[in-house]
Amino acid sequence: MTASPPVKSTRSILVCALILLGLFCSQAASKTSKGRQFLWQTNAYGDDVHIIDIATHEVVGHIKVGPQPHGIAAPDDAHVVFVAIENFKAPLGELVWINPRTQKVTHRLTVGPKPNQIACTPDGRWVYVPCNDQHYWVIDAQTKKVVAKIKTGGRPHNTQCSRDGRFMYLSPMGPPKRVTIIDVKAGHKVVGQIPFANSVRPPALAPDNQRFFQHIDGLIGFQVADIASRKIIATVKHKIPAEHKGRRTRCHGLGIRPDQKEIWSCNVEHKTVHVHDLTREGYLEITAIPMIGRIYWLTFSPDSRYCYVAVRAEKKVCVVDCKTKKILKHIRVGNTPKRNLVITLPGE
Amino acid sequence: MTPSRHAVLLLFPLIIPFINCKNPTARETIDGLQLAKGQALYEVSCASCHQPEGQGLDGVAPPLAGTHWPSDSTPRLARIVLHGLRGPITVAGTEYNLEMPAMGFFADEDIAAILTYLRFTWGQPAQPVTPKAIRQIRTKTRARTDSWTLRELREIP
Repeated sequence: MTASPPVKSTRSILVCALILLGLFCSQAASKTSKGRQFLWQTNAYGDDVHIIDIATHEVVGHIKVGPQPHGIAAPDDAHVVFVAIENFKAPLGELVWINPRTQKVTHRLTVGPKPNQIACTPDGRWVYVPCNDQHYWVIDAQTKKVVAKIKTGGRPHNTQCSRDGRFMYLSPMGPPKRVTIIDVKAGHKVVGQIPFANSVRPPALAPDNQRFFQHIDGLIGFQVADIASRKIIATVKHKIPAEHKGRRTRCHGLGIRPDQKEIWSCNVEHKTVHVHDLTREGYLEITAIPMIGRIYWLTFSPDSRYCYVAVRAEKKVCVVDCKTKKILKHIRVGNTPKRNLVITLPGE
Repeated sequence: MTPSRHAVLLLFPLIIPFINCKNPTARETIDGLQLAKGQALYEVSCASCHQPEGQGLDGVAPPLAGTHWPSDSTPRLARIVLHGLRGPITVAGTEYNLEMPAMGFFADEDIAAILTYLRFTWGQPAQPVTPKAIRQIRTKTRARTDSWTLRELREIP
């Protein structure tokens, strides 16, 4: 038996090391080019926002933003994150600009009273702020000025922007019982309304801008409207599990999974998330996922892998695996987590 | 502000002696300033939903004016303000099913002023709310982390 020449073995080790280095570099490059994704969670009865790295599901940041932060929105490139400060004790609220890289508040703007769920255009230029003076305040985020106030009546509460940034959909609570559609590019002009069967609550919008999904008071489920005709085309009811039958509840928090396969809905008092099929008309319920407490809002990771549900009274965010529908983890956050959002910070 | 509410504020110094006669403990806590403070706080923090004249807003918050709520028991009212109220509630024939936020961040004096303002405006003026009463209820419910339901409140005297 003869031993291998030392030169040959050194060469093999070198080749292996180069392969490993190559693999490591390509993985690192891919990670950088994809960017890093973070869940931002507002704590609506606190004064802060928690930031969670969705690669690890660990809290990696915590920013003091002002009393009762409610709504949150960010443009596609996440060069800024906007948060609405409701401030129950003050006559007026605020919109704050946050640099997500430094996690510092960079600007504050006084807006109308008790602002709630905001929306911004994908380029971050326009922010719509629902205020408790029956108006949506329109902010030019570039000049940081209020450029318009759109009266909807009721209690302006939820806002949704179309994927292309052309339209804003305004869902005020209370008497209007309708969604007002704004053409952003036409100078923030009202171009239509969709009447619903009752006071409108949280909405969701399909990216093709054809279907609008809306929670309404008195319905444990959601209504679906055809945007072109401004007509309701379906009323979808959740299946109520036997143990909850007869127990009053309401729905608050509706989200379309980014891969467009499912729509998820928060059933507050039954502490349940209902999942419906979005690929076929009829919107059949696929499953219901029990939560540990009363829930308020949900959002998804951009790859549709995870859903994040704000469990308000428990001060936690629940991480759900979208494929298996299993709860993976509960993440401790602040006082009464409500609205949340996943942002992607592009690689540097 | 309506003329009737103006009248309540203007006539308040005149009715204080009568209140004090009936309720000596109120002497130190109820005065015109407290009522004005309660009104100011109500207008900033409550009126946006319950409306300035207490008429409520359909689909958002129930009315206070013309209902028994402003005159309801201090333990119940204090709990609502401290921790919020959720679930179905029928007021003046209309059902509401939303969630009133917790306002426990207000000081005891502020909550007492708000509730006293409600009583003097739309309820029974002979029953002011004292900061001491709020303090006691805050202490008693310290472990409470969630809002109250009507069913729970009914069990409280």
